[in-house]
Amino acid sequence: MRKFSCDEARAGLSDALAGVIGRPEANVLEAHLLECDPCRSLAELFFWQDRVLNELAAQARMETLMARVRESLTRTNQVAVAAEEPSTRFRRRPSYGWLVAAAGFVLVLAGVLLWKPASKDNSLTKAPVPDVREPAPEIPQPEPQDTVQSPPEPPPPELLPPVPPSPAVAESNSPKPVPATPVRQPEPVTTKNETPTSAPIQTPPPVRASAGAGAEVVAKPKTLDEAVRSGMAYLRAKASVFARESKNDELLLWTYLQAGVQESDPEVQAALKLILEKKLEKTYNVALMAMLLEDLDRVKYQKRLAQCAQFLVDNQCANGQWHYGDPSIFVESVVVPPLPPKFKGVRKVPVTKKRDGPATGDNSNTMYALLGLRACNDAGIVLPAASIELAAKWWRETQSKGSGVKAPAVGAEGWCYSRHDHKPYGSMTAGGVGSLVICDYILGRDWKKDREVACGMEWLGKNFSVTVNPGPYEHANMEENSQHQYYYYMYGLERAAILYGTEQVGGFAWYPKSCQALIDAQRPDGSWKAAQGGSELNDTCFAVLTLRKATRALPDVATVTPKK
Amino acid sequence: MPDTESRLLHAAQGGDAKAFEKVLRPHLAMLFAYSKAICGDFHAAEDVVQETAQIAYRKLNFLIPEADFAGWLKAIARRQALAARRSLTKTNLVADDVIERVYQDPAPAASGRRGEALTECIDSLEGRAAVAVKGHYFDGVKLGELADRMGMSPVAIRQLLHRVRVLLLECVRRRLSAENPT
Repeated sequence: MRKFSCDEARAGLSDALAGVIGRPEANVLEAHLLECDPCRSLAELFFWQDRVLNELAAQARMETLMARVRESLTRTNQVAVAAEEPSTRFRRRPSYGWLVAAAGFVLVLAGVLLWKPASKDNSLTKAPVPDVREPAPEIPQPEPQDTVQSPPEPPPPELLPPVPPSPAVAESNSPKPVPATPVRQPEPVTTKNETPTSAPIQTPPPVRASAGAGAEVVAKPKTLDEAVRSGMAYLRAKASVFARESKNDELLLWTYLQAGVQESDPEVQAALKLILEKKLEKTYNVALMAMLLEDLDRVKYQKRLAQCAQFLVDNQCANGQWHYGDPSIFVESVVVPPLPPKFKGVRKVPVTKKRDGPATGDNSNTMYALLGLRACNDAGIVLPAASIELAAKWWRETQSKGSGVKAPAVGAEGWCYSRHDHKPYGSMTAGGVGSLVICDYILGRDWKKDREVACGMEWLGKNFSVTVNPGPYEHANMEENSQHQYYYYMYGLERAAILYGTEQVGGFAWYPKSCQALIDAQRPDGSWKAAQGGSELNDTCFAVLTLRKATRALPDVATVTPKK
Repeated sequence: MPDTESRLLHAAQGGDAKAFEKVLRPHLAMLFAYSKAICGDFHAAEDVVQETAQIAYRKLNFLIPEADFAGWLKAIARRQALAARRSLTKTNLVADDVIERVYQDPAPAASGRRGEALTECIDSLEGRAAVAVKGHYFDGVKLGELADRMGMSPVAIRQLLHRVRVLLLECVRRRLSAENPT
C-alpha cells in the first residue's frame, strides 16, 4: 500500500477538513494517522481549529439556522396535528339522514292518526300538520365519494412536499426528516425503458389503489425518500409479527439502521439488546449481526464481532461453503484484550479455525457468511487466510463454464445454488460476484483483475434485469426469468455492483433502474408483495436496503494491502 | 443537566416549540461544526442541523431527565451527517476518533483562552488568507468556485488553506507563550 510522508499526511489532513480528499488518499491518511503520533496530535489541533472556525461561522449565521429550525418545527407540529386528527378524507361527515327519516315517520304517523276521510270538518285541514313534502330542515347531501373528487395534480417527485403523505405515515417515526430544501436524490432515476440512458425520472401517472372497506385512495408518485419512509412505517407496524414469523431480528435491525433510524430509538435499543444477548446459532443471523454491529460501532462491539468471526470460521464447510450453521463452543473463549490507555482505533484480534464444519453447504449461506466476515475484517478481526482462500477457491471452481470462452478471455459465467449442472441465475450470480470481491479484498488482491469476478459481472450485464430474477430458477422447475426470490436478487445486485465499484452493469445504470422498479412495485401500505419463494417482511427489508444502497463500498483497489 | 435547560426541555416535551428553540440555540453552533466535520460540506451540514432539530423535537419524549442533552443531539447529528456524507462521497471518514475527542465538550470551543487566541488570530488574517477563510468557512463557497473567484487553481487554494491552518496554529502558540513565557 502507498504510504504518506508526514508532510503529505498534513496536507491530506487539510484536504480532509475541506472535504476534498480522494478515496485512496483518505485511506492512506487514515493508515498514517494510526501509526504517527505527531501527525495525530496535529490532526487534533487542526480539527479543534476547524471547530472554532465553523462555530464562529455558525454564530454569524445563527438567525438563518434558527429560521430553518423553526420551519422544520412548524412542519413537525403540523404533521403531529394531522396525525392526531382523523383525516378529513376518510372521516365521515355527520349524517342527518336518520333525522329526516324519523321526522318523516312521525309526520306520516301523525297524518294517519289525524286523517278522517269522511269528515268534512275544515277545521281539521287547518290542523298544524306540516306538509310531508316540505323539505323542512336543511338536509345534508350524502358525502360524495372521495374518488369523485379529482386529485390535485401531483408535482414532480423531487418537489413533493416533505411532509409524509398520509396520517398513517405521519404517526410512525419516519426515519429521516426531510430538509426544507427539495429532497436530494442521490442519483437521477431513469424511466422504465431498459436502455442505457441518463434521462431523469418520469412522473408516473397517479395510480388508483384499493384501500379496503370500499374506499379508494389515489396513490401519488413517490420519491425515493417517501418510498423508504412508507416501507419503514410498514416494517415498524409489523415489527412484532416480524419477530414472531421471520426470527431474523438482525435483518430488521439492519434495515432500520440503513434506513436512518437512530441508534437511540427505543425499538432499535430493544432489538440491539436482544441481539447482543442472543446465542450465535445460525449463519444468516450471525453474518447480519456482524454487519450491523460493525456499522454501529466497531470499537465498542469488537468482542462480539470477534465472536461472530469465530462462529463463521468454525462453521465453514470442508469445501469452502457455509451451511445454516451450528453453535460453536469456541465462541465463548474468544478473548479481546482491553484497550491500552492511549490506543487509537481498533485492535487487531486474530481468530483461528478451531473446529471443522460439515462437508458442504449452499451458496446463499456462503454469500451472507462472507458479508459478515467482511464486516469482521473491517473491525480489525484478523481472519485465517486459509478460510478465505478456501471460500474463494469454491466460488472459482464452481462458476459455470457454458459460454465457451476460454481464459484469459472473459465470458458471461455465473453461479447456481451449489455445485451441479444447473445454469447460472441472477440471485446466485450476484451473490457470487459480491463474495469473490470480498475474498479478494480481504486477501489484498485486485478484484478488478479477477477473471471470475469479471465473468460474473459480464453475466449480470448480459442478463441485466430489475424486474425479474434472471435465468432459470433451479428450485422452480428451471422457470426462466421468474419472480422467484426477486427482492433477494435485487439486494444481491446492489451488493455486487457496490462491492465491485460500478454504477453501470452491462451499460445499465443499475441503481436508478432498481429504484424505479422498486418504487413502482411498492404497495400503498408501504410493503412490497412477497416474491415467489419470499416473504413479505423479508422482501420489504430487501427492497428498503436496495433503495438505501445499504452496502458500504470497499476502498479503492490501489489502497488494499496485499497479504503475503 | 442545568436547571434552566431541564425546565425548558420539560416545556418542550409538552409541545412548546419556543422552549425547544431556546434550549437548542446554545448547541446549534457546535452541532453545525460537528456535522460539517463529519459530512465535509457546509450546506449539507446546515441540512443536518435542521434534520437533527426536527428529529430531536419529535423524539423529545424519549429523552430521560438525567440524559446529556448535547450528547443526545450530537448522536442524532452524527447519524444524519454520516448519511449525508454517504450521499455526497464514498470516502471513509478520516480520524473519526479524533473528531469525537475534539467534540467531547459541548461548550463553545472559542470560549477558553486558547479559543480566544485563535479568534484573535483569525481576525488578524489579511489578504488572500482572509478571503480564503471567509469564503470557505463563513460563506460556504466550494473550493473550486473559490479558486475561480480568487483567480487561483484548485490545488493552489487547497495549499493556501493548509498554509493558513499552519499559520493560525503558530499564531495561537506564539500568543499563548507570550502570555505565559514559562
